Amino acid sequence: MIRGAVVPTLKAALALSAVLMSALAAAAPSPPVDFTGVWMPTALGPDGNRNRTWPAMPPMLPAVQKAYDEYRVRADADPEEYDNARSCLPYIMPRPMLVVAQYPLEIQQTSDRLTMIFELHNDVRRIYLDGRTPPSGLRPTWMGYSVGHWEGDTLIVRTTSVRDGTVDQPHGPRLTLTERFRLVRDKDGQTMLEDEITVDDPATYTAPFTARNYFRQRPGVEIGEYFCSEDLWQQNLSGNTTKIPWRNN
Amino acid sequence: MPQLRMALVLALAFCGLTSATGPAAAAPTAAPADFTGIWVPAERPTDTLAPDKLRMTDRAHAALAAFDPRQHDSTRFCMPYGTPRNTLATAPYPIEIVQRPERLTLIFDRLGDVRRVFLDGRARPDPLWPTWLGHSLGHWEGKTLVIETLGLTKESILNDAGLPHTDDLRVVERLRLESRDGTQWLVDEITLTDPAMYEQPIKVVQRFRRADGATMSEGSVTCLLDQWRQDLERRNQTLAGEPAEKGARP
Repeated sequence: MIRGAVVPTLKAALALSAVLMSALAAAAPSPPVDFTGVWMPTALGPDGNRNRTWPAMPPMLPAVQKAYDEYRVRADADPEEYDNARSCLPYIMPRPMLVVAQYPLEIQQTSDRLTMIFELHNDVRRIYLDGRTPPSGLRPTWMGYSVGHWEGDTLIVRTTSVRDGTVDQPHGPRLTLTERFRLVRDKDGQTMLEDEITVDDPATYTAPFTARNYFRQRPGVEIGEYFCSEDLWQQNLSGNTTKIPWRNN
Repeated sequence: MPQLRMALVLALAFCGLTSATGPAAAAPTAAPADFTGIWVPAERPTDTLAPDKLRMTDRAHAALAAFDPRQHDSTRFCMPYGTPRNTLATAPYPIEIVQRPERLTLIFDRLGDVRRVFLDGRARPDPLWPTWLGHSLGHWEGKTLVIETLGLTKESILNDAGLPHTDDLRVVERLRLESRDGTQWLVDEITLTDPAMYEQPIKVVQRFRRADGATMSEGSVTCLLDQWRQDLERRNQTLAGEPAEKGARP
């Protein structure tokens, strides 16, 4: 190629690539960000400071506060009896998103869905991105019903139909969670996933409030198997059935 | 014309550069087949897992004779079915598949088993510890996805009757789509190889009917709820401010 042809060739290439890119974009509108991967929750925010995921004193209505305080007295006096984990039951939204222990979260993002798989309790959360509205008359579930849409590089997710009954994070059937997921950079330039959760439940709280959690990418990590009743199963295999309530079914 | 050819090459290179930089999602390459959706397992017309159809070793006969579901069936403890029992023995509960170019994820409604099939050409972990779901690698042969699963714990069984296997069980599946009777089917041709237990590989075909209108429940929760219902109800009363009754635990 002669030297004089380089600049026009480059210009033509750039123009062509612009045309090709817009054609590609028109053919398959891809989401602005791909959250796919294995993410580890962290108690440290992007500024390196410890991040409190849930407010110490969320603004509870007086009746709820009274029941909660009475519960706390009993639970603090007998923590074993009131330990949620003892029942092997999974967390209720928004708690799975606010875990800071070292249990990873896996995200599989596809064109019309975000699928979250939590190592802790092996929970699966589905966020529909296909523009649907939640069906009416849903039975409340532990994960609730989540629909999302993009606003720029931020994924906005609205969750309703969450089962009530959380003790540490009380809420009622009218709970609405609004999450804003986006990628942020920490002070060292590393990518973090931010989940900002606005909790709105007028039957429980005097005003909406915001909780926040951060996750770090763990490329190459494979999610392990976590089964809460594994201890009971192993006790059974070793012949100790005294702690297995349904042994004689 | 060399300039034009060069421009085209450069243009494609720029496209590649643009899509490789920034946080934008990579454009999904078209997979030979898309299994994404909800599928309901069909009953198998003949059960090739009937013991009289198998050539079992003495070790397998002994293990089967000693099988006591109350003690040896993990699902009684809300533990997973494990692979391949989740595929063979959880009808009529649906399964859900989420497919990406580099991954296939199978979610089983019955007890919430989650299987990950890696399509990105990765190597197996070394050592490969036995697990309930196993370690699955897949590759495409035409429109068929071939999956090999190793690392399956001997604590799991092949079916409800308690057919045993060792940690050395090798599961090879050939997954493909098939249209028949106006319905789309997912066909899973499964070959189980475990010479310590079975003198010949076991071949099973499991079909799934597409049922995208079906909904997935929270299967593992249902199991735990059944087991711990009294406890949960007691704690709900606690939340409502009712005094906790001692001794209500099952």
